[in-house]
Amino acid sequence: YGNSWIGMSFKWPWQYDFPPFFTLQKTLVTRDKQLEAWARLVVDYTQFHKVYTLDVNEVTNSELFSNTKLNRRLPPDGVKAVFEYLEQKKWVFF
Amino acid sequence: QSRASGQLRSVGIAGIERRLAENHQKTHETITQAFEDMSKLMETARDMVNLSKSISEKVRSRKGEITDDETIAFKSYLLSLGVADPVTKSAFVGSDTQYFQELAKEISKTLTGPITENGGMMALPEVYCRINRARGMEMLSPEDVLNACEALSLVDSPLEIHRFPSGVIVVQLKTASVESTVHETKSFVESAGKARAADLAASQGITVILAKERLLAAEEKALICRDDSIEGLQFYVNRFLQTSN
Repeated sequence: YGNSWIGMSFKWPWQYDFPPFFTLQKTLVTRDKQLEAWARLVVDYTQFHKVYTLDVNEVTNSELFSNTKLNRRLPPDGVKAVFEYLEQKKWVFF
Repeated sequence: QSRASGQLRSVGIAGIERRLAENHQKTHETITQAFEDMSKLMETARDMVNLSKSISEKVRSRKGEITDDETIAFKSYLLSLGVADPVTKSAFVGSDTQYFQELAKEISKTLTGPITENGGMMALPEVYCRINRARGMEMLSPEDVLNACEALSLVDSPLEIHRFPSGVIVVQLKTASVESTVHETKSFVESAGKARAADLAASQGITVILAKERLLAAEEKALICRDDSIEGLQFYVNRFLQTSN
């Protein structure tokens, strides 16, 4: 991760390399933990890159929601669930 | 010659033709008779059905006065006609008919062995196949098998019926319920890293359908989690709950 010649690069959480992270989980307890991790990732990512507004349609295709190394991307219903979670926690406003 | 007149008639082409015509006539008669018998039989059966319906009305109207044995007998009449009517039937006698209970005993006697060998669980179509193959004649209808399996709980048997949320019905050993397999399933997924239903099926010697149900049961208990992609549905140990942060 540490590409020091560019400066600090964003440090992805372990979940980002865990394939089930990119499938909206069916079991509620699990889904809750998953959404919590997603929410933290979205907040950390936007703070690191100093982004304050996101176009939901655009961000769906960005590296945030799709891991090319794993060949996994969070499907639209998952992205929707993440933003609903963020809104519910009052971390973002639509 | 002396036997010429009698025998010669039936050998020539005319004779063959005549015999064919006779045979034809005979078959025709048989078929006509069969159909006549059939329609007579159906008329009688219709009477029986009407009769049983009116009895069922009577049974319903004075519920309390009738003894259990009478309704049991009535149910067996319905069954012998093939008009088992669950809507009115289920209202009487807390349990299923004696027929199903006897059948349940037979199923538990013949299938306990095979089910134990198959990892303690067998899907209903497989049960249906096994029991009918074992019988050879006097086959059971799918409905009979289902009803009999539901009666398993009434006849002190080591087997029980279980319905998965997906609608798949299985017959299982009471000792091998899904709840007892979830931890086993989890350790399999753990040792394999990730697992598909087919992987679990191959390692446990069970069918893919049952393997999938076991995985879903373990997922339900939050022991494993899913990775659904074009590569197929795979399961991983649930790290979401193990390591927070």
